[in-house]
Amino acid sequence: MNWKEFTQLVMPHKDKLYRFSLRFVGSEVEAEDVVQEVMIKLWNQKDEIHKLVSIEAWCMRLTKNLSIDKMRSKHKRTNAIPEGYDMPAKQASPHHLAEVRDAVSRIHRLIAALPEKQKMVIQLRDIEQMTYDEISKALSIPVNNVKVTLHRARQKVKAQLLNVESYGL
Amino acid sequence: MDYSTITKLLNKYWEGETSITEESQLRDYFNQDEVEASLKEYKPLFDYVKKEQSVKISNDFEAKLKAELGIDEPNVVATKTRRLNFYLLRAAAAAIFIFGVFFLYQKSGAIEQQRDLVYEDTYEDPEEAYLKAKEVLLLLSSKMNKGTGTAAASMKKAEKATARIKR
Repeated sequence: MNWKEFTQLVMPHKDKLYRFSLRFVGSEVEAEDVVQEVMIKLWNQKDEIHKLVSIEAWCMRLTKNLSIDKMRSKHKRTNAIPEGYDMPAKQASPHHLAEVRDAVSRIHRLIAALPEKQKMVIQLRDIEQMTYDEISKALSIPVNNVKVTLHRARQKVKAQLLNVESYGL
Repeated sequence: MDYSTITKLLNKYWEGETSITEESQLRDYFNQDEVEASLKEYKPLFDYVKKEQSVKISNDFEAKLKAELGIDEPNVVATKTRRLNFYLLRAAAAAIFIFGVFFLYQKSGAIEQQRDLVYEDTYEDPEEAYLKAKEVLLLLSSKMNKGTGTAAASMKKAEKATARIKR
């Protein structure tokens, strides 16, 4: 397998892997390092790639493991928000901008505070729009477990949202 | 999308029972500037999802990875292509040269054969050859004179016709 074939196969997943890692490590530089490490490992096994059932699932599992290792080794909190991370794309009034930024940051913190498995499942489903089957393969957990975890995660988010709206917490 | 449909979809969403398509419909609804007042509290969640989806790795990621792996693939491919073309050209030139030499050889053989035919003697006795040649030339001459006579008759007819026209 040459470089061109390799990039055609794995580069479509780079942003997804990056976002997934960013969720854990909380640093853009470190998340990119993780994705690079994943790609290097995959390149070193390029002749075995065809044996993988799903490259995406393989990459996701490795990204998760490397990110968790990185996070744990540095004893870093995962809810740190990088500078400019939540800047809205559309220009709006300063007041609206601040409001949206605040609301989005709040949701970010809320999801970051979820248990690890719930956080991963909600990320892969809501952000990456992966099917239950794909999530199951990426995280190496049964499909039913994915559904239950997602249900619990969403219930928590809903409760927190309503709580915030009612009490301004 | 009407309020009741959105509410139903939202309830399904919280229960974790929505399909990918239904979740996409929900995102489309909540990513609008204005949503139903009673649903406003959920809007930040979908704004957050949209924001997260736009997060991308740095543009030069691939270049950095390539440098890290010490890969210079495009140049390798280009060199290979150039080498391949060069070999093809050399092979084609050699083939043209061989065929050229072969055809020249064939052609020169045929010319030699023709030359042999032209200069081949048919009579052994020069006297006999001279008489035969004279006979052939006389025959040729008589035929030519016959042709000249016919031409002269035609000329006379033409002159008569011209004279009549002039009158």
